[in-house]
Amino acid sequence: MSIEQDTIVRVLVRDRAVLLAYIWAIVRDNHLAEDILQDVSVLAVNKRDEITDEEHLHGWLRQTARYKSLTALDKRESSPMRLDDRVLEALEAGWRSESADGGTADLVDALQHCLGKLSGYAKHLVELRYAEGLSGQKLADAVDRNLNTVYVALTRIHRSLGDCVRQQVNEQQA
Amino acid sequence: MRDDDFINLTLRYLDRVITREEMDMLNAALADDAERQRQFRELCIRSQVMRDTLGGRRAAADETAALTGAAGVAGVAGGATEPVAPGVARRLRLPVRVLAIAAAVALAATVAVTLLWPGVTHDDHGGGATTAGTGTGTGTVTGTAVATGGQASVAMVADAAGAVWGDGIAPGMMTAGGNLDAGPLRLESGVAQMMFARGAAVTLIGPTDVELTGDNRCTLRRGVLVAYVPESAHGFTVDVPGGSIVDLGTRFGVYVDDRGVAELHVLAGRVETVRPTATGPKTREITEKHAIYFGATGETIDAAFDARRWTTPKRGEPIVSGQIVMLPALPTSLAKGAFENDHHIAMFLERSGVTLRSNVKVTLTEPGAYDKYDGRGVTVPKGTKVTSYLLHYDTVGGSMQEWKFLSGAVTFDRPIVGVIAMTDQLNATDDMLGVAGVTYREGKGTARHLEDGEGDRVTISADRRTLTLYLGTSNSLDHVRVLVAADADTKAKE
Repeated sequence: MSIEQDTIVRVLVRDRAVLLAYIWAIVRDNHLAEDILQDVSVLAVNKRDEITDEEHLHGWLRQTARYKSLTALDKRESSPMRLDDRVLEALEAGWRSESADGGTADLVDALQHCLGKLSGYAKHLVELRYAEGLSGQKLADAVDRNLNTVYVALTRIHRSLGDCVRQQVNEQQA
Repeated sequence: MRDDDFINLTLRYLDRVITREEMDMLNAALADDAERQRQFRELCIRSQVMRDTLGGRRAAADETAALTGAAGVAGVAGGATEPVAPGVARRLRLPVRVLAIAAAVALAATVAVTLLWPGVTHDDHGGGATTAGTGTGTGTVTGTAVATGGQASVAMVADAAGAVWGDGIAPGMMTAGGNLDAGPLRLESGVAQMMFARGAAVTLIGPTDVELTGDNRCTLRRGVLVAYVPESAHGFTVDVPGGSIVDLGTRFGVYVDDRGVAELHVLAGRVETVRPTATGPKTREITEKHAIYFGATGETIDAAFDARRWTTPKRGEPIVSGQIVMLPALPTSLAKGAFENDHHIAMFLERSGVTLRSNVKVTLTEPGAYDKYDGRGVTVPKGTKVTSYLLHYDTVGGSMQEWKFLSGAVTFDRPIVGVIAMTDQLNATDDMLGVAGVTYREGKGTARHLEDGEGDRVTISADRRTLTLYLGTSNSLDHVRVLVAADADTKAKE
């Protein structure tokens, strides 16, 4: 028995952020990640006769996305820096559990709360990095700091957000 | 390795500023450590959600620019960071914002598969399933369409990153994958995409008022809707003030203005308009690359087809909707009679990031709805950094006896700091904010201002990002210059 199309659509839409993060972690280019996910989505519908159920679909999506991501990376970059194959394999099981958590709605709520607690400079940096899309030297130039200083600041921000989000999500689920 | 060192390495890897040596360290740290693997996934997902929720409109463009060779090497100056291959042309995208998973899936369905939504009864006569007596599009539904779990969902949010919703809908309530019940939705600004249960993928561009009335049907009261309809959803229906627009296998765009006039452009396939009359429904078929005005009382008049009206804005550019078209370059003259068009208000980017070298008098700065402009003057101080846009509406020919009206909205990613709508203020800013070599007027006496009591209406939204225009002209032209904050700090302080 093959999977129904509405199940494919629901999984794709609900897990969009996790799937995009999975692909982005390999290719590190938003546009390319979106293109790959779009291709994988269409392929999943066309190949639905070969996909038995939702559990099979999750694995199929990641396997296909991983293959397409690595192929795209090879095509676009002569000597890409990439995660080792065994690292990608080791990360795999955890990605499934991230999808199984039922989407990112809790994370969105928690992040909204936690972003509000950041200091002014940290908020500014987050805005430049994730709303404006600046990264690397451009980000450093925008705040007139050197690159290492900026990445130390981003590190602190992410550590702080990580702690805050985990606490928030735990409270929401309690 | 300390936690901070690991996070730092991961961020550098994701931002492509990692050296070969650091890459080896990251791979080693991740290889056999389940906690590091969890931290890595968590950081990737959090970054993705932050891009989605904070807008991230320029992120992909910048990364793409780096990848396609514009930046050569993206990373630490002088460091042995990642080499980037020369450009690979991006493929053309469907005019659907961000990631149209739902649309892609819907359009991929080459066999007539009906998406069965739990609890929804299908009506195969064009209007689709109905819920709570709203199938005709005239029923009243209280509350909003955000799913409460109390009734069958009729659609699903596919993408609403950056969208601003009205009626008390918080952004977090409209996350991708969320279900939508029958009911009204007000999109104040931005772009949102949803997929109806039967498979029709719909893009809304704010400001738009829509009511979901079934699993294959909605009512568009105001604003812009672009529909992509797969076979499974043939018969997808958009009710507008003058009647109904029924898909016959197609892509189409509809804009409903404040008077209830719908403008329909068929991008592919065919569409049928249906208007009720005393003797029964009257239909008209509109084919690909044709457009009509569909009046509030049901009359139809041919309009000029323009595919540009329905493409999704490029990242980082203003989101225009309705009868405003963003054009890539200014003509040599915008004086009366030199650049005429009856079908759209032309919008141009004039100057980016210009620092005002003197105080500038503008007509409007504060949020609100305006229909009087004479005598208004507010100063934007010297030193303010702005980007200027010009909106131009000049009807073909033009006579005092014939007024023509166009409307639309534009949403910027930074706040509006001033709107110039008076001739003297426009003239005074042409040199500083206009483009050299463009003729803006034939003489100082040329009127190009918005007129009091003549139907010209301007609204600045509460968040100062959306400008809505309703312009009427006869034998004169209308110019509106918009000054948008260009300083990154201005946005950060919002």
